[in-house]
Amino acid sequence: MRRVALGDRAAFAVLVDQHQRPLSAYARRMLNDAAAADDIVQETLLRLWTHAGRFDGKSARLTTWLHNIAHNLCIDSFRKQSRITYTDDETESDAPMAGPEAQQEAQEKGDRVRAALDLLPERQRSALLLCHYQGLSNRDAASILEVSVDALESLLARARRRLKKELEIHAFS
Amino acid sequence: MLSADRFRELLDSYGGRSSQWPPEHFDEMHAFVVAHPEAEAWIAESRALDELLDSYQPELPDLAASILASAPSSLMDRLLAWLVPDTRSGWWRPAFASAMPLILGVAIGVGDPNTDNAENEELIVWEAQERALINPLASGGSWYE
Repeated sequence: MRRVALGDRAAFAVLVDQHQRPLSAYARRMLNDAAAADDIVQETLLRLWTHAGRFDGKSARLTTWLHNIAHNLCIDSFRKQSRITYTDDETESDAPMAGPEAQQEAQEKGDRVRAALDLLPERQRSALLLCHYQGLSNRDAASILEVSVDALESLLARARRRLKKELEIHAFS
Repeated sequence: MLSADRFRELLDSYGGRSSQWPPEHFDEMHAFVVAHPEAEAWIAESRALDELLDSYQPELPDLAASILASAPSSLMDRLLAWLVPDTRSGWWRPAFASAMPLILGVAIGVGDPNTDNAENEELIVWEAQERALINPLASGGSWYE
């Protein structure tokens, strides 16, 4: 990061390579709008370039700092747009190839989850994405959402209970 | 030892995979599972949700080239990017850049007391009064007034 702060483009390229895809996964799940998500990832990583001097490695990990920026940009985007629309993406998937039926089934499952995630309030969705998909610790996620760990647990629990209901996951007994 | 309600709350928060349980809760959750066989069913229910969530994998674009291409290279561009971070409204960056000399000029001018009109007017009046006291004729007034 010190090298990036001094304008070292090669060092910046390494960090872009490391963080671009995880940030894309977060933004695309958060917004469900590929173009808007890509803008947010681009903006987040450009801020890494222009604001690198502000990063304090003692108080946060770089991935937490970047997710914090991306989260705030997503919330800004929600505020600007009263309605979020889904846009199909033409980029190629990295998922391994499966048979047509398996692909169809996976696609349908994914669509159900995406639709259920869209029903969650923004903060519950962000809490779930940060912890489940992005693998952030509860403390890091709480810091990004500016809440206590207890409040984060409450957001997560409400999100998962709602998802179980929407996705019709019933108790095993 | 955790209560059953607390254990289920933690499962609701962190899911059924022990790898995702926070370190500060891991030991007590594990102890609860060992002591309460019924916990296996609750964990299975949470894992079902975890697995369903995993099925949603959005397609991820490779944005690295476009990000690197749009990263400002000169010091002035980096300064502008720092001041105007939103890439989607980049049209006014050139305008801002063009206005920079004007802004700097105004900033410097504001800091110079000689450009302050009120102060200048006071100075002119004061100088005229001084001249009138020293030499009334030279100041354009009548000496007998």
